[in-house]
Amino acid sequence: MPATTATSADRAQPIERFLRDVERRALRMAELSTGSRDEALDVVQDAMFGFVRHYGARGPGEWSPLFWRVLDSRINDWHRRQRTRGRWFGWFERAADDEHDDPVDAAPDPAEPGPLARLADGEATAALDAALRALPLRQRQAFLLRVWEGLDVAATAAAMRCSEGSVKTHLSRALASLRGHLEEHR
Amino acid sequence: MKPNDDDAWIERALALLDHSAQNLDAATLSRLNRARQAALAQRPAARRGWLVGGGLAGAALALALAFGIDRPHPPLPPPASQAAAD
Repeated sequence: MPATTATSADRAQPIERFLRDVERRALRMAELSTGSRDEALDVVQDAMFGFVRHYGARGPGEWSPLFWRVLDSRINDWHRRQRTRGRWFGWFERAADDEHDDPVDAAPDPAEPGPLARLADGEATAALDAALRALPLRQRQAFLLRVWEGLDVAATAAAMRCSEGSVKTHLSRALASLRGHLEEHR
Repeated sequence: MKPNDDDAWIERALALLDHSAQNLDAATLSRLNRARQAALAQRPAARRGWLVGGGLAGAALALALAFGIDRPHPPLPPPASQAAAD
């Protein structure tokens, strides 16, 4: 039926445009949570598959919070898997790390003015990544979804599957922590 | 959320994040593109299209077989010897 075919084609274009629009930011969010570009690509691919399979037939107006919800869920799944893996392999990794622990290497250098004091743009990105990665997962997601992605509190809460009050708490703590880390960029 | 004027560092952080997202390397962009295309290829509409197409093709084949098998054959001409006797 030509009418049905035309409708399907018309629907495919907006969803592809939507994914093309969000995929780079999604990758960066996943990368900040996993610390690995390859892992992040896998997480984003899973999120795209889940989003298209479960929500592709919804109206385009609903897509944004639903996509971020799926991505948030995949990031949480990744962390759960890492925790499980850590329980099994943590002992071996700790034993291996012990061999390289050197208290002199770990001590701060009093002559060093601070990790962010002398940074240009490229280094500032790395410093920001490090500050974001140091945040707890929920705080980082609250910051990225609410501040970077620009979702409102309700949409952020829906994406993170928590209350709006929790979003505000996570965001407030994230901002305080990031401000502390990045003060030297002011 | 719009950052306050006081929070210039937030503006800077957002600019850095935007820049990092816009300047991904070609290999990463290629993998993102492949992931997107693969995800879109399994969307429900496309799957329904396959099912409908497959169903129609199956039905057409079944009909062709049914009509081909059940169609009455034309009567054979009588053997030459019998025709000569008649």
